[in-house]
Amino acid sequence: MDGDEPEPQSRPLSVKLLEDGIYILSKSFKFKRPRGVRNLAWWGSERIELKNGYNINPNIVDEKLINEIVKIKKLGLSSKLIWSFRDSLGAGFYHKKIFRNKLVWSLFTKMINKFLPYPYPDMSQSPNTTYPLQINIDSKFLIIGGGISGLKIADELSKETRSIVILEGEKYGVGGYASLLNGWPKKIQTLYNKLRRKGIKVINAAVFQGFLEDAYIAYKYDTEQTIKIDADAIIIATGGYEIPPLFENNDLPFIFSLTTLLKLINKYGYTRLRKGVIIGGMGDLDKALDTLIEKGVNITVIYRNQAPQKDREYLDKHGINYVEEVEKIRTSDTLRVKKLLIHSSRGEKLNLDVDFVAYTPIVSPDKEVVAQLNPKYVFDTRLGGYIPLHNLSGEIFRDKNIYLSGISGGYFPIDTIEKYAAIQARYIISKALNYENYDIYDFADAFNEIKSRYKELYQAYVMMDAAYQDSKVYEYIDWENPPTLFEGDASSIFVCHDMDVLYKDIVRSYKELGMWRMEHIKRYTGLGTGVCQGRDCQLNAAIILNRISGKKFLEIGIFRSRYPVMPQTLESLAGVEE
Amino acid sequence: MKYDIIIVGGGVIGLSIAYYLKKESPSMKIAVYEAKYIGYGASTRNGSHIRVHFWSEPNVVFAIKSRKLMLSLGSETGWNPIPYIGGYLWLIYDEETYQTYRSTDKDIWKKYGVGVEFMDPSEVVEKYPYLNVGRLIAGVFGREDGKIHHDFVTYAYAHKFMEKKGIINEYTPVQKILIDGNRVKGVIVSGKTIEARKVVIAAGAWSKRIMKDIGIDLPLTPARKELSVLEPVKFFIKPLIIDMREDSRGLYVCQTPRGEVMGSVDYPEIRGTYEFNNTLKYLSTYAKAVTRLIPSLRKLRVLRVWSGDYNISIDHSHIMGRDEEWPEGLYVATGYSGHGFMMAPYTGYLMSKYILNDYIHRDMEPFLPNRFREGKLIKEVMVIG
Repeated sequence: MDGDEPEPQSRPLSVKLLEDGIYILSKSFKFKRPRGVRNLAWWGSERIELKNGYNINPNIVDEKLINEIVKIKKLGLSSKLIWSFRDSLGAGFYHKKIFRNKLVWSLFTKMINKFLPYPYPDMSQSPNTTYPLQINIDSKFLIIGGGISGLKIADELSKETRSIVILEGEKYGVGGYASLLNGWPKKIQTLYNKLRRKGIKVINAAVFQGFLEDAYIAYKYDTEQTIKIDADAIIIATGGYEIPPLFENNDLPFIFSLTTLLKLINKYGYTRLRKGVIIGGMGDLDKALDTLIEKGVNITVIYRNQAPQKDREYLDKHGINYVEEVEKIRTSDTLRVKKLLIHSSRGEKLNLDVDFVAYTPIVSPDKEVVAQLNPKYVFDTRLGGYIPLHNLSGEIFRDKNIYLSGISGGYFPIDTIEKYAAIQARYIISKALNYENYDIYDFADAFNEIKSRYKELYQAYVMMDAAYQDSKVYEYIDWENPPTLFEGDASSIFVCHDMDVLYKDIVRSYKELGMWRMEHIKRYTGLGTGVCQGRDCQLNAAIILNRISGKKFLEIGIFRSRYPVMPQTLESLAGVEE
Repeated sequence: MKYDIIIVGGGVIGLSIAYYLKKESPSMKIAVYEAKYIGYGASTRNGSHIRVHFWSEPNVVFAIKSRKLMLSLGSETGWNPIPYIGGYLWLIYDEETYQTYRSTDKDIWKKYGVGVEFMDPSEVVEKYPYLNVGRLIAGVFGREDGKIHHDFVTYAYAHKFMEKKGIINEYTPVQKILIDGNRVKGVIVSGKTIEARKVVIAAGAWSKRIMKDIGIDLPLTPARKELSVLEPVKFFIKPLIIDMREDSRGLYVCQTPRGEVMGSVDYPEIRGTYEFNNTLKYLSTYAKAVTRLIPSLRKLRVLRVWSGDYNISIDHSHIMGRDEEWPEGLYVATGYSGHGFMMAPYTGYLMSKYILNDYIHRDMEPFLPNRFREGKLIKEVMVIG
């Protein structure tokens, strides 16, 4: 791999939570720090159990706090009060019930520091005006994302200019889907080496922070430096987004994208996913399956239509079970779903024990970066990612020279990506470098080609388009019989991991206060005000609201994911020259 | 469709008026029209603080009563706005400003029982060891000031108003105020006429434009302000701190009870209604100023930024009520110059009395719009941020 060996990743909190049986709808893998106050109300396997069911996470809470709680109890407060107190910590700080009581609130404010599971800042810092050095990028093209799509576009652009810089969030090498596999696919490795030989710069550990009004900046998080960008054109190639969709009783089996599955298993070393189903049909499965088989995971692949010839050959060769023309997937309705019933139109019936379901289709690109632009736009891309299909040029602002690469390596066969990249790159060159009479591809032709060649893909787009309009979400689920909402103890399902907003907090907000707009849910529960800024949790919250209120996604709306994408130190900003 | 009263603007001011109107007169048909979602403007984008220390008597009196109503909101509505009264701390670096605080304390604050505490630099350093104060002359501490969850106040009013069959329409912008002869007739919404006997304009930064459409020019200028929040740490900045060094550009910083450090500077100065975006100018200026004042924040990370409006009036004080020269039935409550959230409860209380019974309370008299016509401006200059 060109000498760059990836550093072993430490396991993020999310994985620990999953292993402790705590299910999270929004998975913030990037930032390893727990933020929520709910860490105090802990039901993980390593908990310290106090009387009356008050459990504490020993990893986060110190002995002093436990004594403090015991002291409150000695004050004669009832166990009911303590329970509701614990409950109130649920939705960030802002859950209403308990803090209606002035006495409790005043007691709470007195003890605030005991209850906040955060450290003090480093008080020994002395005042000085030396700040980390700023990095300046001055190039014709800036590509955000060093995955297959970004590399391929860089390759095309490099035929015209070498003034190209790629920002990649991974610390080493390429990013995206390829970085999750056991070894990069050969094509990517060749491409990567070729670009490096050409002198194209890849800056690793660099996160594009979004769009400020007066500047574009990125953040190099390993050295904590601000990168100030001056580029003629910016191309967003930040890849696919893992959305864990809500299935009926969405607790289990775990349902997530193939990318998430690979992250959990191959990157973070999550060991409890032993057998499961992959909904196939879209991308190159072979490398992913190679990786999963090597880890000893037992896979069944299912297809909505017929399996592509390429997939069939691979599956037959490796003796992997697959089912085509699947009509319906049902899960058993017990609390912890372990069984999956699969019916195909050929009359096949499969009854599987599973730990997970992973899906390849239906992703939306570029969540973190595009989320900074314009909420409505992001919602489109999140719900279907169909914008690149409607607008193959990738041009998202007529006047700003910012382009969106809608090709995601995790979901498209490599030859499709190559074709897309060529189409896009030529268009971008003609626009950004003001080349007149430059030979650009005919987008209508390309669109038709996708339509005929990648039927599954096209169907998924059409389906998502319809879902967007009609408030239906995933057709793979049997929506004929509307799923019931989780009515039981949903307390252990996180929707917003950063601010500890639970499934039931959202249900409550709707049922008790009639709130169903995302803006209000955000302000009432604190959902999405943490590190992810709604990038991870909003879609699931929208789906929950859609299910309980029947309102359309457009009405529910989304709030703006605020700048920056990754939290950035004050000192790195203080040093920025205007 | 016909209402007794229409309120244009579903921010904290409009909703407070709606709440008190319904409370006084439950049978009245009242509707709030909001162009976006409730609280869209400054109500959800503010620094969520209350204070009583202003530089003019009318504002001090108004703020003291408003504070009292704010703190009783919990028992009144069932929504505890989770107050934390940690005080305001002004850091003063020049003699002239210091003397102004001294005289205001003597002439106004003490008179109303909200006298401030003057500290010399060594006291400030002892009490707030995390501050790097440089050539400080004095610290001024206002005990009565503090923070309150702003969203909960807005929601409390909205919730209680709706419980009494008040109507709130979101995403329904009012296109025009209808005037018939010398009377308000109603409003136009989505091309339709909605009749009402009385119309109250409480549209924050958008009030000026709405009023201008019917030929009334209010001396207002919206100013966009940016704020940011740092990742949470243990609660150690108890008061809201205002650093009055010239080159700190109006820096203020505070910490929310959930640990997030929040603050702003008055830079860049952007006037007019713009999109609620943010700038690198703000971020770097704020970062420099705040890490100078509190060096321990250097390594903390910015979690999110946002922006909101101050709707600044010519005398930095709000405009409420009506001018007798205006069409009958037309009222305003706007121009709060950055104090709208803290002034909302008393505004709603007084406005409801005025609208229902034509009763002008003496506390509200200085804020009537005819003061501009008659040249009776309020001498208020204390705007923070």
